[in-house]
Amino acid sequence: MRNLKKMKKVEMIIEGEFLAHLTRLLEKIEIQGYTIFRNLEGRGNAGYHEGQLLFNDEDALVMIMTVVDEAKAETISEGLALFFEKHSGVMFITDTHMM
Amino acid sequence: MIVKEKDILFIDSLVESAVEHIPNFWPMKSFIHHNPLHGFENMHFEEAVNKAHTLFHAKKSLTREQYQRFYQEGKIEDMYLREELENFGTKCGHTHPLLENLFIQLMTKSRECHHFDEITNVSPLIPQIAKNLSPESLNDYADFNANLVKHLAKEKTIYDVVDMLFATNVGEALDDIMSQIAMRFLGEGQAIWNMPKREKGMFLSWKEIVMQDKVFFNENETLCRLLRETALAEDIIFMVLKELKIPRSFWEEYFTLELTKLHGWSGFLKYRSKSSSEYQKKYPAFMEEFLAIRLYYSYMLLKKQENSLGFFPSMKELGSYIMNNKEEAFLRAEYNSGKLLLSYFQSVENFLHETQKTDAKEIYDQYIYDKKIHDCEVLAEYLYKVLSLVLKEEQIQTLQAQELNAINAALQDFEDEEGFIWLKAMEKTSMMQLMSDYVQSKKTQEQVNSSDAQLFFCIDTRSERIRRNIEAAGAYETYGMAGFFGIPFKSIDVSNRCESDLCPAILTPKHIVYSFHEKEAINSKGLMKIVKKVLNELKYNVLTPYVTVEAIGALFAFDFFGKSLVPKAYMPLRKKIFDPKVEEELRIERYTEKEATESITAIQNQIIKFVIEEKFNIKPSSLDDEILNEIREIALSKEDIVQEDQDGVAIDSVTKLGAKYNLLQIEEQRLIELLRKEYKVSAGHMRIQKAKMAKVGFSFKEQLYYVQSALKTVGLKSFCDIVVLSAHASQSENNPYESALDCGACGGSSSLINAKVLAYMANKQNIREELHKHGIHIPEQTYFIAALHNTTSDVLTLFDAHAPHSHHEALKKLKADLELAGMLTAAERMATLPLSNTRSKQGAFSLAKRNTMDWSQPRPEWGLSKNHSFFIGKRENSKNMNLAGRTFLHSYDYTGDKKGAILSVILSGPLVVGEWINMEHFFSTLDNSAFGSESKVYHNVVGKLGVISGNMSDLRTGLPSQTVNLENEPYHEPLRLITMIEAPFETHKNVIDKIHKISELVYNEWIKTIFIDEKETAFFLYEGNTQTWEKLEFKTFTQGENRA
Repeated sequence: MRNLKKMKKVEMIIEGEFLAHLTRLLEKIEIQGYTIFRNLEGRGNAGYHEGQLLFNDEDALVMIMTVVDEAKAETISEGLALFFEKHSGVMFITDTHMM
Repeated sequence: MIVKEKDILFIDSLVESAVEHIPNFWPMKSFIHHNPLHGFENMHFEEAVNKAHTLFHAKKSLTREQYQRFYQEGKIEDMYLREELENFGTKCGHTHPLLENLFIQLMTKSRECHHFDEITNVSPLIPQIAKNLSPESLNDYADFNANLVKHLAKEKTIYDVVDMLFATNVGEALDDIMSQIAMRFLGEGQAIWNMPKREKGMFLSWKEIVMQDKVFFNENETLCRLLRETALAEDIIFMVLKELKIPRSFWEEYFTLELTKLHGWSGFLKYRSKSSSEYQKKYPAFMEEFLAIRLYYSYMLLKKQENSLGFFPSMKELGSYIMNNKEEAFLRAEYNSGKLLLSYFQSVENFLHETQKTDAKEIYDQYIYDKKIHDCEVLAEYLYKVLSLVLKEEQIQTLQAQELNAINAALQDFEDEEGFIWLKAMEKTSMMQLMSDYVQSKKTQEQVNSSDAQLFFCIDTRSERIRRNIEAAGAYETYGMAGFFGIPFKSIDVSNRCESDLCPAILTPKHIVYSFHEKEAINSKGLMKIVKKVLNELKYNVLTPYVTVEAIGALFAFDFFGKSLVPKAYMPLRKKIFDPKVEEELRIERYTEKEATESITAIQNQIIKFVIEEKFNIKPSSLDDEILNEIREIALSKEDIVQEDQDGVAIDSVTKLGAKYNLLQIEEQRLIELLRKEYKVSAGHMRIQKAKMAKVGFSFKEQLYYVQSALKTVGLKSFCDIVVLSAHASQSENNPYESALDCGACGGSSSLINAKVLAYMANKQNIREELHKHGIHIPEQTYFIAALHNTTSDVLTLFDAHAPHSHHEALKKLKADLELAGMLTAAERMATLPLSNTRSKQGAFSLAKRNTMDWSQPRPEWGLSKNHSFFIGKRENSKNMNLAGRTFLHSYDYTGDKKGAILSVILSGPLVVGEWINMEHFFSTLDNSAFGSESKVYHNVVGKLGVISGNMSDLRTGLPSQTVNLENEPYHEPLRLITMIEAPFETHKNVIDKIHKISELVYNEWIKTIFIDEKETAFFLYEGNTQTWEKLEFKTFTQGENRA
């Protein structure tokens, strides 16, 4: 695949309550681009999370996705390891290509 | 910068975790009731209360005497008290036959009946009891030092221990410094002397001050150099912790200890750092900055103790001192805490003040020996008194040592758990009462054929009384739903230049609604009048260059500049322009692209006129549209004006403005740059402003959605000619807590605008046509009217100016009935307020009205005090229950909600708001000092955002004493929210399991849950002791009757 750059895709599923905290941290380490997916539904260690909480943004699950180089991905995984230890949520880091 | 990026993430994540247990505190203008232990909701309620006891030094329950009062008033059934005592015995494994009777005696007999105070230390049995007590029953002082070191940096900060051992005052000095910094930086317009350069953020602004401070900018060269060079709060946190020698594994707990010291300010910062408030945008502040400043000062204050202590008290050195000077450290702690035996006072004092310490061991050993004897005697005396309640002297004498120690152990467990035993018994009493009333209410239900009007009210407990009285006054149906009527938006009040989020705090507003007074009109001409006036008033203010189109336009945060910068000039102007008596107009329809462009263009031209006048002293009246448009277009383009010719000589103007007034191109260019940079007249900002305007109002589809949702949520299927949407608000003078009495579902504001928005949408013909296709048939003659229930006066006002003529007669009757209902409601409420001994309904009504204007009235109404339950179900089933204004009522018909989708909306939104309100009252009553704000009498408003006690304290959170107490005794009855859900248990119980937050609240027992299953004719109660759902047949339970 020509013109494609090897990158890392970081996906973090967290409770809506912590969205502002995590996006600020990303901006603090100069990651300017990310995408937010709201109203996620599913089951995890903490139990079932309904997706459509019409009147409650805090307790709904959201996902933040960002694409970064390998060094930044490492910073995120090391720096946020503790956050994911303490809170329900999950982080995936996968290889990807970016145009 | 000494920390790496990953350390920044690590430290900030630690800070985030550390403050999780500190509740948010919202500014007073939008008081949000919340659970002070919200951060503990992932734990069981009882565990959380115990944790809070440790962390906030808060009480775990009311006192025995306070519960005894409820018991004597019949609010706690004897049977349930015994049942809970039995459960306690089983849980703790205490089986001695004496215990049940002993505990019941202790709980139910008042202190006077115990004759405790009359029993003096004369019985010969006391020494015998003391002799039989095992060493495990008593404190082992040998562990003191090891425990202190173990708790260092986990349960006590370094300076807590230094203050304890050396009678220093580091903690208090640190709190004072931090309170002052918080007030000066976070204040919203009250401080005379704010922090410098606040726009740079809290940490950098503070740096400006501290680097000039000779007292606190010395002592440690490396730290001071780092502070001079860094812009990162995390650098300071890292360095101070290194200097204090606190290992990484302790950091999170240490942060928690530091930030809970002033948990009011920390809670406010926690809210503010994540909010989109204008102050946060303008003067950003974050928790790690607050922590860095606190840690810095704590280090400097400790450093100043180094000389007198003889060592720098880092964690390591302090730990060594405690372990290497075991006897001295212990005696210091005893002496400074006031626990020292009186007979040792002089000798220990002499010892501690000796410069050359004599051997401490001798005095220590003797002291420990005597202290243990003393403790043993005190305990024996207490046991003797307690045992005397149920045993005669000779019986006490026959107790074996083993029995005595078992009783003592059980007694200690009992005292630890007693509050929960009382609480659970009191809740059971109320639950059985509510279930009985429900069954009785269903039995006495009357068939209603037709109604004159339908009235929607907020779920707020205060609606219950007026709903009941309206239903009794005529053929009226009432419904309950969250007071924001399901429409989450931000209201920007152009008249008052302020904005409010009119939805629950757990929800982010999805739309913007502008409100205008008629005089202003909703067109750009009206707006221009406002912009022009305010610009003129700002002319002489030093901060004028910061004025932006957002700030001065009617678009965003007008108030911020108008009120904050030129209040004296601005406020009279505001009063002159806006007549508060004029009913507001709302912009509910979405702006078209054309309208948005026109509005922004008009504001920009007005700004350009202002700037030209300021800069060149040119009269605005001489500037025509052609000149203004040209300047605006250049500012919006990316082009610059050439300022010099090839030889570097300034050349003549190129614009029409320049030509008319002989300006040089360099002057024209400066004007353009000023407009772009300072006044945000640029293409980029125009795009942002347009994007913001696209959020104003609602599209057709959105309007349809909101009307449909509101009607479906309450299960309304057929409509009367008149449908009233009643908002609510309180009214009082000189009351910083006024917003705590407003609508909780509207973020502590009046819900009137929400009611008006829904009424507008529901009255639209095209909306009704579309609803018809979705199976909701609103007849043509049905008219929706917004109304306002003043909860202080119980006056209910209809906003019916545009109602069709055909409805006038019916409205006349409705108004008369509403007045009667208001009067009856006021009479009910006034009877509960002190000093309102009026007997007539009219007298009560006029007294209630007086409370809205009496500036000296500390308790204009009881508000939501005494709230205890939340009913989700059909009104006809709860209609005959007298819930005495204690129940949140949400309408719900499960027959139209087979999959539980509507129930999940009610549980995840309104119920959570109800739980916050309930827990706020619960904990403010339990410990008004730790969780409430104590008496209003000593409050001072600070920074226009909250109150402090006296002239310096932490920001006071929670409810004042006047809201929950009456003559220093609880008026509010603290019970967890009894939540009754009218739905089939089998099919709808899974709604709880599917919403993580709700399952936490139910299974961790933050609420007490009851399903009312009409099909099974049974109740299903979640029983925390057995962690099962208990089934009870529908029946009435008379007092004292065993429910089984």
